Amino acid sequence: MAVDARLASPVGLSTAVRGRRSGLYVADSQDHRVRRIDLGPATVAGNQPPTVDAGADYSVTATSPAGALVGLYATAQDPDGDPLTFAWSGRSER
Amino acid sequence: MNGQSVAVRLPIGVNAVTVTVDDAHGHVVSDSIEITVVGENTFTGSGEIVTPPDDNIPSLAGTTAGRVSVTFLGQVLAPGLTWFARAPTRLAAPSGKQLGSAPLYYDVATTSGCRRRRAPLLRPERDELRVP
Repeated sequence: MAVDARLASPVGLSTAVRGRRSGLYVADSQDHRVRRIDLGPATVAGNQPPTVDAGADYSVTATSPAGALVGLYATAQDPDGDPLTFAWSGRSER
Repeated sequence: MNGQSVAVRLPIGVNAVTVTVDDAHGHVVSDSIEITVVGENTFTGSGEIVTPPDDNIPSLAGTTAGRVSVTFLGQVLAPGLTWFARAPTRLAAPSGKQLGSAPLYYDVATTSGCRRRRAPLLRPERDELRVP
């Protein structure tokens, strides 16, 4: 991650995680302000990402002009055994 | 291994579906598939037999055929979609009567072009319906 921090006289650094975001806190001795630089989503050191598989592409026949009732199934695996949350989204093109 | 299944109604056409998984430790991964909902199952010719899928059961890959066939006895002049506009309904037997097995009633609709399209249905024959 590229971070562009321009401080006149940085004197202290600390990192923190608040909620799901991680940040770098920098103290500026010249204007006596502390600035927070967002480092993006926080990850726990050593924690591995899960894998997910939605299966292969397929076709179904419409059951009416409105389309078809389709069953979706995905499997996921987490090497750390973390509980996983699924979310589905999509877009359609005629 | 975790799994999740959902049933959604998708329109005719190509549908890009994405599943996203979050482990609550900052890792969010996703996978996508394309599901094509085909809008034609009735094709030109004579003696066309169509087996529309059952709308009560979510379609999965390879399981799109229903249990009841519709036979077009006339000529199909333009392709289209044939479907059951209403789910099978079981009606009670008349008072004092008892049915060996309850009948199933289907409303059949089609967007295909065929002769005598408005002719009255149907002659049930086991699990087969015939469109005159």
